[in-house]
Amino acid sequence: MSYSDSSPQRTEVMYGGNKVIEQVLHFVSNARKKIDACVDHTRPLLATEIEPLKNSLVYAKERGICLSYVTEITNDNVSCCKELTKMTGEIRHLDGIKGNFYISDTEYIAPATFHERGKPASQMIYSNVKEIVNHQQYLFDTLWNKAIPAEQKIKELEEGVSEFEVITYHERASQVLIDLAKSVKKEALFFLPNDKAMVRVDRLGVIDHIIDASQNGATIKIICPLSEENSKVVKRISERAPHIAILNGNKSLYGMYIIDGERCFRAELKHPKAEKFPDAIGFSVYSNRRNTVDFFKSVFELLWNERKLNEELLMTDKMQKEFINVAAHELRTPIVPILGLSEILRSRTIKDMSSSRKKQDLEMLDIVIRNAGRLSRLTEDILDITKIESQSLRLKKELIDLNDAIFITVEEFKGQIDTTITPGGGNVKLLFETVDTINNKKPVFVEADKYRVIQVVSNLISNAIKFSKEVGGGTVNVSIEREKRGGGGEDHAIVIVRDTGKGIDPEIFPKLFTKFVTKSYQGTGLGLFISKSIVEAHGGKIWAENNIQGKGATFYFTLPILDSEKR
Amino acid sequence: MIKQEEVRFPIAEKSSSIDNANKKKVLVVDDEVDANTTLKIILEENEFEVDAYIDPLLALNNFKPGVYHLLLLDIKMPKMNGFELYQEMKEIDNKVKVCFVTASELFYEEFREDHFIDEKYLILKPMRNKEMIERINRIISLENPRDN
Repeated sequence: MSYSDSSPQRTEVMYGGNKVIEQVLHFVSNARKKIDACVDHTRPLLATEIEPLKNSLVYAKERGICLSYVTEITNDNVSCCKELTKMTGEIRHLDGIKGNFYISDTEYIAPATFHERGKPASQMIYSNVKEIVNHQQYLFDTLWNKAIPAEQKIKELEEGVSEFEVITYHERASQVLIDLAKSVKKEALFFLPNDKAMVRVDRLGVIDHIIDASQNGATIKIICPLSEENSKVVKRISERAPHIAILNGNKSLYGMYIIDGERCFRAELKHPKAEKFPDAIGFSVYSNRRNTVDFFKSVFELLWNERKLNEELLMTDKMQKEFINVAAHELRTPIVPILGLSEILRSRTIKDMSSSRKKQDLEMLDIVIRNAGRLSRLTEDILDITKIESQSLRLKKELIDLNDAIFITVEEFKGQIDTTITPGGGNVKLLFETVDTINNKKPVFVEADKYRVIQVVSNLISNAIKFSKEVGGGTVNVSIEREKRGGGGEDHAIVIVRDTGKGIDPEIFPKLFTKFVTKSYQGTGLGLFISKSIVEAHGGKIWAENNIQGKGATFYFTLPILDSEKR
Repeated sequence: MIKQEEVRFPIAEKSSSIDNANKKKVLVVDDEVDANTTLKIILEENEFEVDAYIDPLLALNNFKPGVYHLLLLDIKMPKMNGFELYQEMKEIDNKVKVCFVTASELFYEEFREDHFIDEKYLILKPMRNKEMIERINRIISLENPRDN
């Protein structure tokens, strides 16, 4: 029997599995240009497993016949569909197809829908009536246009069933979150937008579900701003599920929940203070699309690592401060009686005229006092270095008159050196002058930490005196100049300490302002490093040079001058 | 741990009131025994009359108004810190002047940053004797007690 288009137009029902197969084979071989097939999810298996059918399709393709195939691609038939893609022109997927029909250029067949899985239908409608073929063609085209490419569906199936849902109904969003919390098997990552969010999700029972999950071995991580508001919930979590890791987070405009690395939920926070979850959120999104979940997960991991680093930094910072505090107390405390009591003993020894060993006793006490003082200075230097290196040197900036501060410092030094005769018998003279010679006390206002600025000036003057003494005396000249900068730049005060000492050793010159650099047997080699750090913290510069004319060295440091209008 | 106040510092010496002597009277409270002794000796050597305690609570129990020209209080002490002790003592004698002593970096930084007590009422240990006596005399000579 032949069913070519030359046959008379007819429509009939055929019975029996073998006959149905035979009809289908004829149908395929009769096709001239194309075959369109719309079949349910069971049919791809037949097309690939019933040899004659498969061969006829392969042969049809070889003949140049274009086969368009729309079916429902499922987890069960995905492998057959992949094979079919090689045998056909194009396969598309459409959800929930029922029934089967094929249309060639002129013919229509429709195997009956009731059939056993994997077996051909036992009944089939055949028609070459032009009206019916056209009618069915229209139906096919409609379905074809609604269908999606097989590659897309196969990818989705292989990477998991993909859903993406924008939820605007807030009660539904609550339910989605509860279901997610219940479903946790391996891992839950929660990013909560504010402290109250933890209380809200707890009211939904979400916290209890993740506590259960943690007790069953799941990894739970929560980032949430922590406060008194959620302290009770946090306490309950840490008591019942100590393995749940919670980090203090920043406030955010959305919450993020990632379950087992497979599902995620993100809810916009609209009313941060609301008591109930549905009242707090705006729109929310649920997705189990691999890419979306992976993205959220990587965002969470980034936030987690950042928060963790932040906590570690805070801890290190705290430990550093504690160390400085303890070290300061423990180093300073023993110096108190050594220095204080040896000074008392010294003054008593001076008063006690009867002592025969007075001179020797005084010498010994001077050594003790000098060394206790040295120990005290070293302690302060080391504490300063520790603060500088841990970036915890804090300045108490205020408006100060640099002229005044330096004047007082110089006067204090004068009191100390007036009585000091150098080993060579010469004296060290200390002079202070400002450039404003008309009014010597004209204030130079800078915004600075007075204590620290005096520390720098004292360090420079004390070095200058020390090195002047080593050459048998000389003059230390302290002066302030004003450096004007054009083009809107700030004016700077330059403090200059010039001595006639032995000058800076060329060997240490390049590393003068680094730590432990000294040519003096009495110095710690820390003073200039500390001075540099202090000056730079004020936005100034410090440098030194050997005097071109004559001997000695000059040290300079600058501080930005606060203009009168800024004051 | 030895209760040092019992072993080495049984009690503050009995003292006369301000009116009975020309000597300025200072109350020293410092839990570090050696520092406490040192402060006491330095002050006495400089013509002050000194009561010294290493236990702040004992110092508070024995504290009477109108006796001292100055309280010299360590900040970091067990049981009660220097600030708390000062608050309590001020309740008893609201005109008493105070100077805090500390070797603690933390308190020193707080002083410098928070302005809650002027730096001139603070001695950072160790301090040279001469400087410390000058500082103490300066505070005592201030006409009015501090407002806070």
